[in-house]
Amino acid sequence: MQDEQRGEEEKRQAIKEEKEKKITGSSGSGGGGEVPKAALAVELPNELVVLEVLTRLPVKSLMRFKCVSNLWRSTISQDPSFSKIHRAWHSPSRAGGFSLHIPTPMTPYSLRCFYATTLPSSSCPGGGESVLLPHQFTATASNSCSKYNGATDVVKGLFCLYADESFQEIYPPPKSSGSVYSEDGSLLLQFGGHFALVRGLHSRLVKQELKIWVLELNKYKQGSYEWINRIIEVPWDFPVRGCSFTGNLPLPTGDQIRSY
Amino acid sequence: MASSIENNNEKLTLKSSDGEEFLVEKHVALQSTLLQNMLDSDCSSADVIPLPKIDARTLALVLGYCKKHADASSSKQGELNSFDSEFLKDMDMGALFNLVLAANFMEIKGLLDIAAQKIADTIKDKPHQEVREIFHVENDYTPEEEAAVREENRWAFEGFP
Repeated sequence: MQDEQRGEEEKRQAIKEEKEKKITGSSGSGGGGEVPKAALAVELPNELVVLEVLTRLPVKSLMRFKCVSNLWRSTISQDPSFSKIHRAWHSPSRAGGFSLHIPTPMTPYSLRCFYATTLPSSSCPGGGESVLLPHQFTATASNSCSKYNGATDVVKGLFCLYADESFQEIYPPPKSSGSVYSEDGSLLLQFGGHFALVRGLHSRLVKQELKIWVLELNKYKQGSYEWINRIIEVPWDFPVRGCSFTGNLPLPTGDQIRSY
Repeated sequence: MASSIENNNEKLTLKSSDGEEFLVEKHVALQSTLLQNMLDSDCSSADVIPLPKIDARTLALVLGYCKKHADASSSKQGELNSFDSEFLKDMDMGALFNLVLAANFMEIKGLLDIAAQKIADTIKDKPHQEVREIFHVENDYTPEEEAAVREENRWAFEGFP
């Protein structure tokens, strides 16, 4: 047992030495003047990296960044104060996450939703729930597209999704006269008190301007929402914040959308 | 009456780590909780406030941010948001790190938030090896250990080297 540990220690030491050699080697040969020195001088202390940067990252990035170093791994998966701050930052009331509930052409009355759960305690040595994991489920609504009573209980307060590739799963809403959705994916989300339907997701988002169809809530009348359609353009890196619905999901259907 | 006008126009001088001096209007300086506390506790009598951890380039950016936010009325939130994203748009990691350090030191919450968020948004889709370099983190894993951690989190690595 002890021998094994010592073996690991030696390996680590060897790797460290190897790296130091590389570093000194490269700085000796490189004729970098003041610029690289200045670049090297900027370093964020670990507390700031953890508190200000890591807490703002989506879960999926955090899972990958456990590979950065042992310290990062233990912070991300074992530090209860970190996960507390991360959860607070990404809780539905603060950042939301978004719920998707868009019928597919094949199954017009079914919903595809995303929600998050906590990791089983066995995978978190720190004990209990540590991080949120995105999941996906499909539910079927009882009758019409205008209300999704079937899903609300499940969605309540749970939504939290960041993974880009999930966008592939998104189907466009049903087409009807006057609706202007693209075929390559749409997503309902909320920001600044507006609901928005984002078009052209996935790879088309990268380094492009994003077009967002803002659907402003105009009226609330006997359980039905009326939306006004307005286009705005936002930078591709617009900080998207989702929402979680706690009542009926107000997904607009074709006849509720007026297009200008 | 006269004294209140005087107060509004009051200025203070900040000195960067590399010795450059910046004349700042008081209401702009109040964006910084650090400076606000100093002014409240009557440290304002000092002629020059040294900021030994912040270089001139960063301080100029910080004060630009403070001025915009101090001058804008609260009704112009949209304008401020677009200023913020334009402000950070082409900034490199080094400059963002400097801003986070300065905003943290000077206690300017809004600036700390947007700069840290920008860093997070920039790194979230980068491979972990690159993130390691960006933050100058020493890789203390053996290759076997790193592979094991990676295997545990395989779902997060789809599409990454």
